[in-house]
Amino acid sequence: MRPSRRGIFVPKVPRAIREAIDSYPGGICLSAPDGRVILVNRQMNEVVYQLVGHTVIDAEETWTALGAMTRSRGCEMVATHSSLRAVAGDGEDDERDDLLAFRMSDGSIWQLRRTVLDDDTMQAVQIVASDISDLYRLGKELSENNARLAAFQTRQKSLLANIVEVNREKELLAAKMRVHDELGRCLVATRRSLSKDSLDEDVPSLKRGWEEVIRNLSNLPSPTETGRTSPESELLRVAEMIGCTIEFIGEKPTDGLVLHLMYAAIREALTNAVRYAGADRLTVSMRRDARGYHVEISSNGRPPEMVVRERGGLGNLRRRLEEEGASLTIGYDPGVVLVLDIPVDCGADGSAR
Amino acid sequence: MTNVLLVEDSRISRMAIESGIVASDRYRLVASIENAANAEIACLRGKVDLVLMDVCTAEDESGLTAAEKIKRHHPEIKVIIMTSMPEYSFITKAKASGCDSFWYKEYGDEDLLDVCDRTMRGESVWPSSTPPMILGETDSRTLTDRELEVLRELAQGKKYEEISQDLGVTVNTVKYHVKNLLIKTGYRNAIQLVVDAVNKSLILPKY
Repeated sequence: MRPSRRGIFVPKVPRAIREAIDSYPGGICLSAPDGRVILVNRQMNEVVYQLVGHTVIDAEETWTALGAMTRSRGCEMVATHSSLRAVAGDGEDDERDDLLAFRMSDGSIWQLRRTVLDDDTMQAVQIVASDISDLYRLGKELSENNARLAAFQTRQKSLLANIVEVNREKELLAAKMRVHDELGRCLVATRRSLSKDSLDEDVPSLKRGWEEVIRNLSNLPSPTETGRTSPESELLRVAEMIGCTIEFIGEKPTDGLVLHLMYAAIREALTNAVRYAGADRLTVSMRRDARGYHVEISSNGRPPEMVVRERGGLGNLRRRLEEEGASLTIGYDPGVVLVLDIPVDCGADGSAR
Repeated sequence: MTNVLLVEDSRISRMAIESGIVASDRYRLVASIENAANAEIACLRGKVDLVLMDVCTAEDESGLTAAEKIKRHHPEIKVIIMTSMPEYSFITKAKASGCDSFWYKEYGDEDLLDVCDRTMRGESVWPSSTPPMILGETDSRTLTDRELEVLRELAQGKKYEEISQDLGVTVNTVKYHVKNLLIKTGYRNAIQLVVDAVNKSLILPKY
């Protein structure tokens, strides 16, 4: 070690050590914090020369020049600190290190890592250059594959969401075609017979034909054609069946998801009001403001003897509402009141039905 | 006279079943609805003795979920699950929900009214197995329970990491099952496999 002009000890490198370092396949440069070079090997000088047009004279200036370089002399920067971490996924990574990567004129990829070495006796800066062509290529492929997989998964989810519907439509169409063909055949045969003077001889075969149509109708594969009953009318009909009326007050939501959530809450409230409070009337008050819908569901049932515990149905309802960004509050007036607040943009995360 | 609640969202099936019940002198149709979520309400005041419950009903409401609620609060009400879907898990789920019987609309020789009679006499009528389904180069019966579970998770769009957490196995085990599924079915990738399984209703991710 010999004293430098600024009081920092710069080691003198014996020839044997220098030769050994020059034979190292990567580049290495040790410098004082102010940039004065302590040690630099041949490979590092060659890499830096290709990139910035000179060898390492002042390590700090060289690093600044490397960081500012985008493309020159057939070389280009391909990654900086953060992106390089993502692509290369270096297991020895240290957050305090600075990283740069360049594509050289021969197509190889070199990474330069700058590390500040600091202990009680001295401070130095180390720059290491490594050929990461294979690692970079694999990292890039991995990154591209991950992007492809993500897109693939998005497509898969969308496909699965639609495939059940497509199946239903296919089944429905096939069933309709079968019914149409069978009915048509019988109608034509009946019409032909009716146009004759006497039906007697055709009656047995016509009867068999129509019986066949009825049997086929009964044994039809079940196309999942849904009926025309609206969710509300069926709910009102079922409530009426058990001797309960549901009164709606205020402006009803029009959004499908809001309605779906509201009917789920009404079903839960109705079930509990009838089962535990002997109610025969449910009142649903609805109000809309700028934030969304405020819905209160109360009944004429007996007040609860203790605070309602959220198990099963109520717990599931809360989860269902909260998944869509809505909220549920349980109040007493003096019977149980379910209060829903459903924002205008509920289900905006793609969960809308 | 047995009071029947019919839950069926397919209009043609509903008409056929309704006409069978109406023609019978042992059963009375008290209501015919499309949405399984309304079934529990219909059962509240003792007007129903027997529920004929479809699995996939209006607004994607599950008949199995509704049946479980009905049996929990009204074990005296008999529930018969009906489906045309060869979904592999329906029989197991129906048994776990406490349902009394199970009837495939399109498979087997059982007549629905006969299943109703036997169920009302206290018998449980269950098909011996899920109808087999050709899946690629194999038959669905060759798939193990674990493979079917993995397939269901894939059909829900889950990643291998999520599947491993759900099933309590390692990611490598999930990959092993997926690989076996692909070898058995001959499909090139998981998406082909999942699409075919969902297309043939072997897996219905929403139920």
